[in-house]
Amino acid sequence: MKKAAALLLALVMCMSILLPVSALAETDVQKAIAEAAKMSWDELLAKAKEEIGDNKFMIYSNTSQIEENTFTEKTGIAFEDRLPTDSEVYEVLTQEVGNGVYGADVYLLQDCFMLTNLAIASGWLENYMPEEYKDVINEEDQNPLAAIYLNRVFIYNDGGDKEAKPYKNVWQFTEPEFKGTEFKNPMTEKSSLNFLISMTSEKWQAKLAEAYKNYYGKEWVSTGEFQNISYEWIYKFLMNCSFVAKDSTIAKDIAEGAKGSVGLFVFSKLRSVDATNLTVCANDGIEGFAGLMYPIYAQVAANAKYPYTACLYINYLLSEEGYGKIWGSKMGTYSVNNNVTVSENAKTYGDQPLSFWKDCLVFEDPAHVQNVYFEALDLINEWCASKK
Amino acid sequence: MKKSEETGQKRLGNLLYAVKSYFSVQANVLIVVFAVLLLILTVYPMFSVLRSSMTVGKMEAMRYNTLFHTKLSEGDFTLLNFQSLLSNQVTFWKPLWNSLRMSAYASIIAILVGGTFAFLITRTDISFKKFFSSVFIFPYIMPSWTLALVWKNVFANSQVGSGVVGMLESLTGLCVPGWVVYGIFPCSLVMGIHYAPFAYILIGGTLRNMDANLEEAATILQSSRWRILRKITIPIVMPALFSTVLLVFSSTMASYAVPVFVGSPGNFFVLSTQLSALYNNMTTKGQAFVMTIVLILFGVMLLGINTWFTGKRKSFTTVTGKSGQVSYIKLGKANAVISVVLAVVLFLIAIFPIISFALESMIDSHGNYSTLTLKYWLSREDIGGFAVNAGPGILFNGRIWTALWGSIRLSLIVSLIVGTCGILIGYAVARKRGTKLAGLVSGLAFFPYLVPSMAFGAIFLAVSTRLTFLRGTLLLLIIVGAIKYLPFASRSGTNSMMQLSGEIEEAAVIVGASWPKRMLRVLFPIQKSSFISGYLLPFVSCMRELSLFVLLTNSGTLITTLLSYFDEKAVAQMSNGINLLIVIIVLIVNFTVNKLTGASIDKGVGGN
Amino acid sequence: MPRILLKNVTKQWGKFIGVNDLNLEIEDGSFITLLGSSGCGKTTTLRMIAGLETPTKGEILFDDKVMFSSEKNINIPPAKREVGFLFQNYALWPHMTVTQNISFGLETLKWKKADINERVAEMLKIMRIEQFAERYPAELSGGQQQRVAIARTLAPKPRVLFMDEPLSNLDAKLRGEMRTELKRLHKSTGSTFVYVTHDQLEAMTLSTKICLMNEGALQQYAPPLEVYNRPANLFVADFVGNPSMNIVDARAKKTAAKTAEVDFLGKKALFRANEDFELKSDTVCLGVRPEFIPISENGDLEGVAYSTLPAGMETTVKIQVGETILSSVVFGAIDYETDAKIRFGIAGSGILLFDKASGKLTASGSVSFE
Repeated sequence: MKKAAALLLALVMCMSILLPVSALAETDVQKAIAEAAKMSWDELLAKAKEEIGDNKFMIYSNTSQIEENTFTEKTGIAFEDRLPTDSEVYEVLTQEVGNGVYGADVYLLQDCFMLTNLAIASGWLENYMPEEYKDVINEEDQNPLAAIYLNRVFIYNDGGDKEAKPYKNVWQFTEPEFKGTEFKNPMTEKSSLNFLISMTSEKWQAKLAEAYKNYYGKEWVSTGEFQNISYEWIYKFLMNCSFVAKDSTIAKDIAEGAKGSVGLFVFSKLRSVDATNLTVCANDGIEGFAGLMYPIYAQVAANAKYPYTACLYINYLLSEEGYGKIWGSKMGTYSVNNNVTVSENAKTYGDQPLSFWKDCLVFEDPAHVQNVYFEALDLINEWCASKK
Repeated sequence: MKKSEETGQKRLGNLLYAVKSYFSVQANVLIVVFAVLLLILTVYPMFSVLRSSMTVGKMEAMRYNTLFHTKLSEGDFTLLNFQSLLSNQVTFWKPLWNSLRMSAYASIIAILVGGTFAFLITRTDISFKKFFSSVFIFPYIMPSWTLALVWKNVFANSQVGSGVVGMLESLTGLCVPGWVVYGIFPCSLVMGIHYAPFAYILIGGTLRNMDANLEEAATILQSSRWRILRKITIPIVMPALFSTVLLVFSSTMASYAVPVFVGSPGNFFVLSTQLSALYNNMTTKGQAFVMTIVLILFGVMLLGINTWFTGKRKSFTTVTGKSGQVSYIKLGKANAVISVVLAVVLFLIAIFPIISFALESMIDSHGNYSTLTLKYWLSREDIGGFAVNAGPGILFNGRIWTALWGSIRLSLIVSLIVGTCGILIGYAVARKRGTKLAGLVSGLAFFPYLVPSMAFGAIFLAVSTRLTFLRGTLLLLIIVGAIKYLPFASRSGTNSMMQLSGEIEEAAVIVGASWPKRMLRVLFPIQKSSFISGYLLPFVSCMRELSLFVLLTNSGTLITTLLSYFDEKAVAQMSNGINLLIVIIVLIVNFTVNKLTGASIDKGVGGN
Repeated sequence: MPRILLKNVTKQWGKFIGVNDLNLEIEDGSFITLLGSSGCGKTTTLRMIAGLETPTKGEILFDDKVMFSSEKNINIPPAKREVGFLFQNYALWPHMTVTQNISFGLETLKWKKADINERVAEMLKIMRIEQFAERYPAELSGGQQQRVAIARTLAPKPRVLFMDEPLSNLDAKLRGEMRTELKRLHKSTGSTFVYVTHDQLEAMTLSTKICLMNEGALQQYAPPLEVYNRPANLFVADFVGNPSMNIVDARAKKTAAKTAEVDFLGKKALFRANEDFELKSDTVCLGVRPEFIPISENGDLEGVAYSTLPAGMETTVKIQVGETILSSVVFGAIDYETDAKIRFGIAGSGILLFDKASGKLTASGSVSFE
């Protein structure tokens, strides 16, 4: 009984005491990042080794593909990782960095809106952009720094017939005739959500209008029901599609499904199914767009314990070697480093270089998302919930 | 002056004496300790939920400021979360209605399936009792979504969705309509079957301990079987039925995976899917907490009905000890038919998923059985191919073994703590039956059940950022697991303690047995099987829990977090293999406990 | 009205034999007690007759209707046997009030509502529990629960009433009262009562016939006084009667058709039987009821007072003779100093002679000393 009472007392005491612990002062991390940005790989490696000693640094990653062996093999620096999902990571950031508690050094995360408005605006994450890559990374990817791009594309089951090309226009997916496109619920999948929001920009309104004209043979005229043509597509698509929980499930469903069944899912999942009968719509030259593309950002925690090491790791991700070892042979993963090309293996699945996708995929559009986020979010949420 | 001082001292003395004598009774000490402990451990999360629902976060402020032109800033008090959510027909009321329907159906199904099964096992001479009884709990041991997956694999057909041809169609050419494959029907059914073992354990336990004379008395009075069931058996197992409804209803309300697997594709959305949608967006998180409150309120309401019902004048506690002379109903010719039907159903819901896990972990290309291989289990080198970085085969994969051990260790510790607390709570509540404190403790002990795992994990993440010594430690996981699973153990502990009359303990008091000795040598052995199920249930649940722990630990620490890693990497063979491992380990533990102690999850009710 | 017949009824659980080859005829309107110590198979027998337990072998008939037959594969369910059963622990339904408990059986029989109410009221009155009509069993004392249980059992007017140690949970005074009630009930209902008890006094006072069992086998089936006066064997002799019968080892030699010379307690005596008998061996036991050992100055035998137990109305005196301790019951209160010399005799014609090896009763008669 005494023990129980003691435990109780301890608990009461603990709960009432706040113990904010901060690792390095904010400025130190910023200083380290600024220095690191100018260093060469070897200089940075030396600095990181000095800083970390035998300790491990921590990565919170949205993707599990981060490599354990190759970075450690190359540098002798070990790390641990945690895999909070796209939205969990912001809860973690709020609780940890927001409270000055050290959690991780490197964050690999998605969702431009949350990143900018929550994490960066609050000063929880710091951007590291090595000068050596300034010329090979597009400017829009430099701040915040994106490490890789991932895509979700319309893929269908061709039933063995590679010439049929049943999907020629993105408006088809809104027609009852083609009901049941498998898609991850945008309310739980941030890249899906941002895709729909990004699509409402003028650029994609124009593309959709053109595709509309070609498909229906007439100009799109607003019925007043929707703000613009993009919203009409979104509404009709949401009503027409079928929500499936996981990308791997969609891939499996389509691979084993009937001829003509189609899904909008992560390209890289193709590797886990029998892809013989799968065709990527983009390669058939679909009108409108063929899917979406979104970046995975790499950031240093504002309270990182090992800022140099964090920079070293991000530097590694940007390098041809690093990308090659981690993602090199996979389809659907693209380095922001323009020197990196799509692997031969990926090409056999119908993969294309980033430049190809720029024209036919809706890229996450931070500026536009920023402008219309809340209105669009509420509409989409309501439409999703009212699906029949 | 002196006199009043004396009386003052005397009063103090009397008070001290009263306090001292109150605490000299073990049950009093326990009830007070647990009341305080539970108040802290449950009120804190509740307080967090309430606070989060009424204050705006940074992103919520941005949302309201943009949409409603308010001038809120982070941390401000607001009722906008309530307003936005409760005024929305589509995102709140409809899913709520769906949730309620689904939970009600699931409860009915669980009771019908589990109750019928319990009746067959405890009251008839059906064959293979032991086997049936141990297999029947498989659906609960396995994560609920496995059954959803099986459902889909069996009933999917070319007329529905992407047109994947399921087993039924490929075998018989039969295409079931879409509502059978996706929607409220499969959701309710899968949840009902998943929780049917609950019904079996609770109802069967009461049936086992119920004096068979009660039914025989009615038989002698020429009642038909059906009338006895209706008028005697069911009313007497009513408390167990209510407990089952309480658990199944709240669990189903909070269940997420199954509605996502077989509900959403049929455009069937429930509160939990909606909750997750809101929760996973920092701009709508507050509304998710409002939803959590709604979930909790429903739970509290059920709990209230339950307490009101069992607290009524007609006491059910006169269920006297076991009757030695249970005469089984002779099924006669029906025996074979019922056994076969039962065997087929059990095969489908319990054995088939395991076989399919095993198969899926052994084929290289999904659906292509000519690519059978054992490399995902036995390869000593990295598997390679598309399973890049997956490491060696499961049996030689250091990460998997580390994570597995992590899960087993956590589950063992959690179940030991929780099971023991459950018995102690049961003891204290049973001895102090009818007092306010007992009601408080049994209510509070159930409370963690009502908070969705997702929110529970987030609350303790916040706790750990304040109590930094807890961060990332096993201790934190243990505390969270222990609180979350306490309801299971305290239910089973209370139920079994309630069935023991106080005299049994008093008999031991008379001969001078100390309190620990009375617990260990008298009370525990009598209700051993149901107590041990109080240990096993948290173990099982903890072994396969993900959402509770995912925010609190590294991906390699627990087998479930590692499983989601393999899932994310889309190495389906490995994830299926790991699932199989989890199920097998739980079965082995159940089996070992059975062999060593003679008790098991199911044993208390059937078998033998 | 039924006559119950048990033919070669056996109940086995694995290798354990609960009831062994039991033959029993229960006449209509009788009050039969199944008597024996716990585990003797009496409750099992009762439950088999009621249909709650299935015999392994044998036949059970009510009148000439077969209720159970292992050969013919007949097993009428208990509900169809139209019997009443009173359980040891009453088995009152905890979720029903007293009234609901009593009316339950009547509802099953589809009685009219008015008839049910009338019958319930009648039963409440007979059992004197009117004031508890709306209470739940948990709110009643043991004796009250007992009355409710009896009321519930009797309400449908069963032709046969089975009772399984119904009084064992009551205190002594209540038990005495209930005995009286039961005997009156038996008379007033005219039903057949089959009653299980381990209390020989209950069996003696209540029943028209006692069926004494031991280890699953029938020992004696006879009216109480016959069981008392002419126990079939040593077990019965020892089981029935309080204080128990004095059983003394003796040697016997037949001297005439109805007489034998017996040698016991160091004395020779002449045993005069009431009927012809045959001696199987010379090793016998003499059974002497305590009331047949009068204490008097001129008694033939001598011993010392081992202990005296006065109970007011009568006194039990334990007399030590050599290694043997005899019980004697005398009217009135007397007290002996421990180890005081006592002279006593053996009187009456109810002295029993048993064959020691088989334990069977050989003859009854009187004993006289030379």
